[in-house]
Amino acid sequence: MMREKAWFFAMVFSYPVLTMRLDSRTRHEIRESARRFFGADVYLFGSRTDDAKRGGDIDLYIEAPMSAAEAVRSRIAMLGHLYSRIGERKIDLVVNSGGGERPIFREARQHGEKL
Amino acid sequence: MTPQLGVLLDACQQHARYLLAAQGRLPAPVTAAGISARDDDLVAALDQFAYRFTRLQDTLGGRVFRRLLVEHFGEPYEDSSLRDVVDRLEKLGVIASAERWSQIRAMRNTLAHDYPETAEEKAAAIELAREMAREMASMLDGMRAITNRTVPGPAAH
Repeated sequence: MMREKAWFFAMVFSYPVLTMRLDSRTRHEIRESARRFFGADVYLFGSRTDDAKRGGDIDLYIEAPMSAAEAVRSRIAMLGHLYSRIGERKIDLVVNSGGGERPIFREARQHGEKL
Repeated sequence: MTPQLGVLLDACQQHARYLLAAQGRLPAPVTAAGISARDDDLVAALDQFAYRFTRLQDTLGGRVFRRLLVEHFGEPYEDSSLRDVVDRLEKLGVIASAERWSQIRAMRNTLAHDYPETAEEKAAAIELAREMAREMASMLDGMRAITNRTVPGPAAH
Protein backbone atom coordinates (compact mmCIF):
# COMPACT_ATOMS: atom_id res chain seq x y z
CA MET A 1 0.00 0.00 0.00
CA MET A 2 2.74 2.42 1.04
CA ARG A 3 4.76 1.53 -2.01
CA GLU A 4 1.79 2.17 -4.26
CA LYS A 5 1.27 5.56 -2.67
CA ALA A 6 4.90 6.53 -3.14
CA TRP A 7 4.76 5.49 -6.76
CA PHE A 8 1.60 7.55 -7.23
CA PHE A 9 3.23 10.70 -5.82
CA ALA A 10 6.36 10.14 -7.84
CA MET A 11 4.24 10.02 -10.98
CA VAL A 12 2.26 13.11 -10.08
CA PHE A 13 5.21 15.28 -9.19
CA SER A 14 7.41 14.24 -12.06
CA TYR A 15 4.61 14.79 -14.56
CA PRO A 16 5.43 18.37 -15.60
CA VAL A 17 9.09 17.46 -16.03
CA LEU A 18 8.30 14.39 -18.11
CA THR A 19 5.84 16.19 -20.33
CA MET A 20 8.11 19.12 -21.15
CA ARG A 21 10.76 17.61 -23.35
CA LEU A 22 12.74 20.81 -23.65
CA ASP A 23 15.43 22.02 -21.30
CA SER A 24 14.76 25.19 -19.35
CA ARG A 25 17.21 27.31 -21.33
CA THR A 26 15.56 26.37 -24.63
CA ARG A 27 12.14 27.16 -23.18
CA HIS A 28 13.43 30.49 -21.94
CA GLU A 29 14.89 31.41 -25.34
CA ILE A 30 11.66 30.45 -27.11
CA ARG A 31 9.53 32.45 -24.66
CA GLU A 32 11.77 35.53 -24.89
CA SER A 33 11.93 35.48 -28.68
CA ALA A 34 8.13 35.15 -28.96
CA ARG A 35 7.81 38.20 -26.75
CA ARG A 36 10.43 40.11 -28.69
CA PHE A 37 9.20 39.39 -32.22
CA PHE A 38 5.45 38.98 -31.67
CA GLY A 39 4.78 40.57 -28.28
CA ALA A 40 2.85 37.39 -27.51
CA ASP A 41 2.84 34.16 -25.51
CA VAL A 42 3.96 30.93 -27.14
CA TYR A 43 2.51 27.44 -26.77
CA LEU A 44 4.32 24.13 -27.15
CA PHE A 45 2.25 21.35 -28.66
CA GLY A 46 2.67 18.12 -30.62
CA SER A 47 5.28 15.46 -29.91
CA ARG A 48 7.36 17.52 -27.48
CA THR A 49 4.48 17.46 -25.01
CA ASP A 50 4.12 13.68 -25.35
CA ASP A 51 6.62 11.62 -23.35
CA ALA A 52 6.05 8.58 -25.57
CA LYS A 53 7.33 10.39 -28.65
CA ARG A 54 10.73 11.78 -27.83
CA GLY A 55 12.76 14.16 -29.84
CA GLY A 56 10.40 15.14 -32.64
CA ASP A 57 10.03 18.61 -34.08
CA ILE A 58 9.46 21.51 -31.72
CA ASP A 59 5.88 22.52 -32.54
CA LEU A 60 5.11 26.06 -31.48
CA TYR A 61 1.93 28.08 -31.71
CA ILE A 62 1.59 31.87 -31.45
CA GLU A 63 -1.51 34.04 -31.67
CA ALA A 64 -0.80 37.63 -32.69
CA PRO A 65 -3.20 39.74 -34.75
CA MET A 66 -1.19 41.38 -37.54
CA SER A 67 -0.97 41.47 -41.34
CA ALA A 68 0.20 38.38 -43.23
CA ALA A 69 3.35 40.28 -44.28
CA GLU A 70 4.19 41.23 -40.68
CA ALA A 71 3.48 37.68 -39.51
CA VAL A 72 5.82 36.19 -42.12
CA ARG A 73 8.62 38.66 -41.30
CA SER A 74 8.26 38.15 -37.56
CA ARG A 75 8.18 34.38 -37.99
CA ILE A 76 11.42 34.34 -40.01
CA ALA A 77 13.05 36.81 -37.61
CA MET A 78 12.10 34.67 -34.62
CA LEU A 79 13.32 31.43 -36.23
CA GLY A 80 16.59 33.04 -37.29
CA HIS A 81 17.09 34.41 -33.80
CA LEU A 82 16.42 30.98 -32.28
CA TYR A 83 18.88 29.31 -34.66
CA SER A 84 21.51 31.79 -33.45
CA ARG A 85 20.65 31.24 -29.80
CA ILE A 86 19.99 27.50 -29.51
CA GLY A 87 21.37 26.18 -32.79
CA GLU A 88 19.34 25.03 -35.75
CA ARG A 89 16.52 22.76 -34.62
CA LYS A 90 13.48 21.44 -36.41
CA ILE A 91 11.05 24.08 -35.29
CA ASP A 92 7.53 24.17 -36.69
CA LEU A 93 6.27 27.62 -35.80
CA VAL A 94 2.58 28.07 -36.51
CA VAL A 95 1.37 31.66 -36.42
CA ASN A 96 -2.28 32.58 -36.13
CA SER A 97 -2.29 36.21 -37.23
CA GLY A 98 -6.07 36.42 -37.50
CA GLY A 99 -6.44 35.42 -41.13
CA GLY A 100 -8.95 32.64 -40.47
CA GLU A 101 -9.35 29.51 -38.36
CA ARG A 102 -7.45 26.31 -39.16
CA PRO A 103 -7.69 22.84 -37.54
CA ILE A 104 -4.07 23.06 -36.34
CA PHE A 105 -4.90 26.26 -34.39
CA ARG A 106 -7.61 24.43 -32.48
CA GLU A 107 -5.33 21.48 -31.80
CA ALA A 108 -2.59 23.78 -30.49
CA ARG A 109 -5.01 25.69 -28.25
CA GLN A 110 -6.52 22.49 -26.85
CA HIS A 111 -3.34 20.51 -26.28
CA GLY A 112 -0.68 23.19 -26.14
CA GLU A 113 1.23 24.16 -23.01
CA LYS A 114 2.17 27.77 -22.48
CA LEU A 115 5.92 28.19 -22.20
CA MET B 1 38.45 15.28 -51.62
CA THR B 2 37.09 18.70 -50.72
CA PRO B 3 36.37 20.81 -53.77
CA GLN B 4 38.46 23.94 -54.13
CA LEU B 5 36.98 27.30 -53.23
CA GLY B 6 36.92 28.40 -56.86
CA VAL B 7 34.90 25.34 -57.89
CA LEU B 8 32.40 25.95 -55.11
CA LEU B 9 32.06 29.63 -56.01
CA ASP B 10 31.42 28.63 -59.64
CA ALA B 11 28.65 26.28 -58.49
CA CYS B 12 27.14 29.12 -56.42
CA GLN B 13 27.35 31.41 -59.42
CA GLN B 14 25.22 28.97 -61.41
CA HIS B 15 22.62 28.75 -58.61
CA ALA B 16 22.56 32.54 -58.31
CA ARG B 17 22.15 32.96 -62.05
CA TYR B 18 19.10 30.66 -62.21
CA LEU B 19 17.75 32.10 -58.98
CA LEU B 20 17.81 35.64 -60.34
CA ALA B 21 16.44 34.44 -63.69
CA ALA B 22 13.47 32.85 -61.87
CA GLN B 23 13.05 36.03 -59.87
CA GLY B 24 12.92 38.02 -63.11
CA ARG B 25 10.01 35.91 -64.28
CA LEU B 26 7.97 36.52 -61.12
CA PRO B 27 5.42 39.33 -61.13
CA ALA B 28 6.44 42.28 -58.94
CA PRO B 29 4.99 42.01 -56.43
CA VAL B 30 3.69 38.46 -56.18
CA THR B 31 0.14 38.80 -54.88
CA ALA B 32 -2.18 36.47 -53.00
CA ALA B 33 -4.55 36.53 -55.99
CA GLY B 34 -1.69 35.52 -58.29
CA ILE B 35 -0.75 32.63 -55.99
CA SER B 36 -4.35 31.43 -55.83
CA ALA B 37 -4.69 31.49 -59.63
CA ARG B 38 -1.92 28.83 -59.89
CA ASP B 39 -0.85 29.91 -63.35
CA ASP B 40 1.60 27.37 -64.87
CA ASP B 41 4.31 29.94 -65.57
CA LEU B 42 4.10 31.33 -62.07
CA VAL B 43 4.29 27.87 -60.49
CA ALA B 44 7.29 26.97 -62.68
CA ALA B 45 9.08 30.21 -61.76
CA LEU B 46 8.33 29.70 -58.05
CA ASP B 47 9.58 26.11 -58.12
CA GLN B 48 12.82 27.20 -59.79
CA PHE B 49 13.17 30.09 -57.36
CA ALA B 50 12.68 27.87 -54.29
CA TYR B 51 15.01 25.17 -55.61
CA ARG B 52 17.87 27.53 -56.46
CA PHE B 53 17.38 29.50 -53.24
CA THR B 54 17.78 26.26 -51.31
CA ARG B 55 20.81 25.09 -53.28
CA LEU B 56 22.57 28.45 -53.04
CA GLN B 57 21.90 28.73 -49.32
CA ASP B 58 23.06 25.13 -48.72
CA THR B 59 26.26 25.54 -50.74
CA LEU B 60 27.22 28.89 -49.22
CA GLY B 61 26.47 27.90 -45.62
CA GLY B 62 27.47 24.27 -45.86
CA ARG B 63 30.67 24.53 -47.89
CA VAL B 64 31.81 27.92 -49.17
CA PHE B 65 31.97 29.77 -45.85
CA ARG B 66 34.31 27.27 -44.26
CA ARG B 67 36.49 26.92 -47.37
CA LEU B 68 36.78 30.69 -47.60
CA LEU B 69 38.10 30.92 -44.05
CA VAL B 70 40.46 27.96 -44.38
CA GLU B 71 41.66 28.33 -47.95
CA HIS B 72 41.56 32.07 -48.52
CA PHE B 73 42.10 33.56 -45.06
CA GLY B 74 44.24 30.65 -43.85
CA GLU B 75 42.34 30.43 -40.57
CA PRO B 76 41.96 27.23 -38.50
CA TYR B 77 38.21 26.73 -38.95
CA GLU B 78 38.35 23.27 -40.55
CA ASP B 79 36.47 21.60 -37.68
CA SER B 80 34.63 24.55 -36.16
CA SER B 81 30.86 24.75 -35.86
CA LEU B 82 28.95 26.59 -38.57
CA ARG B 83 27.99 29.16 -35.96
CA ASP B 84 31.67 29.96 -35.27
CA VAL B 85 32.38 30.09 -38.98
CA VAL B 86 29.54 32.53 -39.61
CA ASP B 87 30.50 34.71 -36.62
CA ARG B 88 34.07 34.87 -37.87
CA LEU B 89 32.96 35.88 -41.37
CA GLU B 90 30.81 38.60 -39.84
CA LYS B 91 33.87 39.93 -37.96
CA LEU B 92 35.89 39.86 -41.18
CA GLY B 93 33.12 41.84 -42.89
CA VAL B 94 32.47 39.13 -45.49
CA ILE B 95 28.87 38.74 -44.39
CA ALA B 96 26.93 41.70 -43.10
CA SER B 97 25.17 39.98 -40.22
CA ALA B 98 25.30 36.51 -38.67
CA GLU B 99 21.71 36.93 -37.48
CA ARG B 100 20.54 37.82 -40.99
CA TRP B 101 22.23 34.69 -42.27
CA SER B 102 20.21 32.67 -39.73
CA GLN B 103 17.06 34.32 -41.07
CA ILE B 104 18.01 33.35 -44.61
CA ARG B 105 18.49 29.80 -43.33
CA ALA B 106 15.03 29.95 -41.73
CA MET B 107 13.60 31.09 -45.07
CA ARG B 108 15.34 28.22 -46.82
CA ASN B 109 13.70 25.77 -44.41
CA THR B 110 10.35 27.48 -44.85
CA LEU B 111 10.56 27.23 -48.65
CA ALA B 112 11.68 23.61 -48.44
CA HIS B 113 8.78 22.59 -46.20
CA ASP B 114 6.13 24.62 -47.95
CA TYR B 115 5.05 26.19 -44.67
CA PRO B 116 2.93 29.27 -45.32
CA GLU B 117 -0.60 27.98 -45.63
CA THR B 118 -2.58 30.93 -46.90
CA ALA B 119 -2.04 32.66 -50.24
CA GLU B 120 -1.42 35.95 -48.37
CA GLU B 121 1.36 34.37 -46.31
CA LYS B 122 2.88 32.64 -49.33
CA ALA B 123 2.97 35.93 -51.27
CA ALA B 124 4.52 37.72 -48.29
CA ALA B 125 7.12 34.97 -47.85
CA ILE B 126 8.13 35.21 -51.51
CA GLU B 127 8.57 38.97 -51.27
CA LEU B 128 10.87 38.53 -48.26
CA ALA B 129 12.71 35.67 -49.99
CA ARG B 130 13.32 37.98 -52.95
CA GLU B 131 15.18 40.46 -50.76
CA MET B 132 17.23 37.58 -49.37
CA ALA B 133 18.00 36.22 -52.85
CA ARG B 134 19.46 39.60 -53.79
CA GLU B 135 21.47 39.64 -50.56
CA MET B 136 22.90 36.20 -51.26
CA ALA B 137 23.80 37.24 -54.81
CA SER B 138 25.65 40.33 -53.61
CA MET B 139 27.32 38.31 -50.85
CA LEU B 140 28.59 36.01 -53.57
CA ASP B 141 29.84 38.98 -55.63
CA GLY B 142 31.65 40.20 -52.53
CA MET B 143 33.37 36.85 -52.02
CA ARG B 144 34.35 36.77 -55.69
CA ALA B 145 35.88 40.23 -55.36
CA ILE B 146 37.80 39.25 -52.22
CA THR B 147 39.22 36.07 -53.72
CA ASN B 148 40.12 37.74 -57.02
CA ARG B 149 41.74 40.73 -55.39
CA THR B 150 44.21 38.98 -53.14
CA VAL B 151 45.04 35.90 -55.16
CA PRO B 152 47.38 37.34 -57.81
CA GLY B 153 46.83 35.97 -61.27
CA PRO B 154 49.48 35.84 -64.06
CA ALA B 155 48.66 39.45 -65.01
CA ALA B 156 49.94 40.67 -61.64
CA HIS B 157 53.50 39.65 -62.39
